[in-house]
Amino acid sequence: MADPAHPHITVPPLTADQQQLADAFGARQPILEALRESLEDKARQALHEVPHIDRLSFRVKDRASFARKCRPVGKRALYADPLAEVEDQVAGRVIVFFSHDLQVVEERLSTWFTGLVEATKKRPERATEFGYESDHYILAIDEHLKPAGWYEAGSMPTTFELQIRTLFMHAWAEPQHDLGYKGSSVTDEHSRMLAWVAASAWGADRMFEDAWMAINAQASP
Amino acid sequence: MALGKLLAATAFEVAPRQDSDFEGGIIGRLRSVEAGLARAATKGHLETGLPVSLRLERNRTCEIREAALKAAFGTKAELLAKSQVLAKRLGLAMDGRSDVSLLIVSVHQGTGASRQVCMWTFPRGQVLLRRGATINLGDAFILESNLRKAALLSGANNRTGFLTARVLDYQIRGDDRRAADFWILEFLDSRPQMSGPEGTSRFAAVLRVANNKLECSPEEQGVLHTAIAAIRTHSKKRWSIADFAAELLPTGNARTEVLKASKLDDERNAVFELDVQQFDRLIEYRVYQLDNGIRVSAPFAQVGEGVRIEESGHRRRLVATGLIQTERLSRNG
Repeated sequence: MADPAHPHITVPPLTADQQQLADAFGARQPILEALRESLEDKARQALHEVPHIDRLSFRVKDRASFARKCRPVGKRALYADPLAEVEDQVAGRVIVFFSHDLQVVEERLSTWFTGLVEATKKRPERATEFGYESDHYILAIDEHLKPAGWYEAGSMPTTFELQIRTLFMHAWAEPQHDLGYKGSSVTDEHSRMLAWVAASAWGADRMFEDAWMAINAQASP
Repeated sequence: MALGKLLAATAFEVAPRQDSDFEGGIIGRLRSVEAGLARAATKGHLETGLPVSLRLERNRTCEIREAALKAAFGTKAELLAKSQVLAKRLGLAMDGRSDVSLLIVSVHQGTGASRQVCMWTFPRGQVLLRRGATINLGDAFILESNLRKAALLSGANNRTGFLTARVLDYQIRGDDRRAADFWILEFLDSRPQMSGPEGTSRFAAVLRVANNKLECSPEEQGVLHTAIAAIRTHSKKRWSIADFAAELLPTGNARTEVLKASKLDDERNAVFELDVQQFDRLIEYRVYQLDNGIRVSAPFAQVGEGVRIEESGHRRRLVATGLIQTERLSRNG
């Protein structure tokens, strides 16, 4: 069975337990889609005229991927009520040009989305490492954005996730995520190759930022 | 969500600036207050009250959330201790002009594993009766009292519960900023979910839709435009779409179209701070078609200034004044 997000990768079929959860998730998918649309619309309005936005998109989690995350085979289930507790059932991503734009976007969004629950700037743990970088936010779902049928649908999430990244953070994170599906087939040498790409992406962001600052300093009287 | 079965409750008298030695305790006879609280919630439409989001620190903590979670899922002793924390918070948030209040913290069964915690303030009255380790409220107290404010938090005992609240606050729209901010901003340390920029933007979008729907009815459009002009200069700064319709469009199709253009109750009733500058940018132009084929498009801020409407009987005459800056030929006018 192919993963829709990564069609070249074969994943095992869902277990009965996972399938049941996937079906329950799927039954609420139209409501989550309506929420996705409202959230994306609101984020677009909030970021209207903010420069250096490469793209903005929201998605509803794939039902099979949701089921696998919540009911991992051979591991303890992570959530008592996954349909309510999983926070990235609807998630958005904003990709910006330069590192300093991360803060600009965060500040603008915080004036529109008032329910900040958690902010995490994901960076490698040690200064000598290069790897995944992204700004992650968990935000409360506003009542006025909850579509018709929300309160009748049973367990529903109270939060959604938003990620803000530069183009180069994204350029590393997405292919790496795809390769990460290979799991145990990734050797130390492969990890070293990926770390090199991460370091290059970090360096590219730094150079872009420095160039932007230098060019702007020159342009100002 | 309606209030569930009452599981426990406390009551404390709180005076402005008081930070200790609160008179009160666990309410012994729950049945004496359950019906009163349910009635107060229904009367005040608590379940559709203004949604607010708590301001959380790292690890999703804040005093209100922590108190509500402990009250909901902890022991009676924890409920008592956290109610006193809330009483202190309330005392410090109240200013000298406030009267002594009775703070009630009630815990209710929610659906499944969830619970509800409601914080209420009532006028004090002579109502606290001590009975050993517990207190009782005078039986008729809640039925006879006017609810001042309330906040309902709910959820399960996990990372995603008790992050937001539904609030009743009759002073939030008032001109007295201190009174308007005291319950939501200071006591609950929360923010309305509909921010000023979002509310202003949604409001303008709703008005545009309503205006287009009224295209074939210039008189009703005129009513809408008059209401728009009135809100721009109104002393009240906090509005909801429903407030606008109720106060400035008491009857007629304009009112109907405004309310229809905002489909969800929570959007219509969300109170936000109107940003007049942003509003002007979004609404921008009022368009007049005159009987001689002239079409005048005027920024809203200019109506009454550079563009004047003179009324004579049933006829309205438009006079526009200003310096010509550019001029162009157009096939379509």
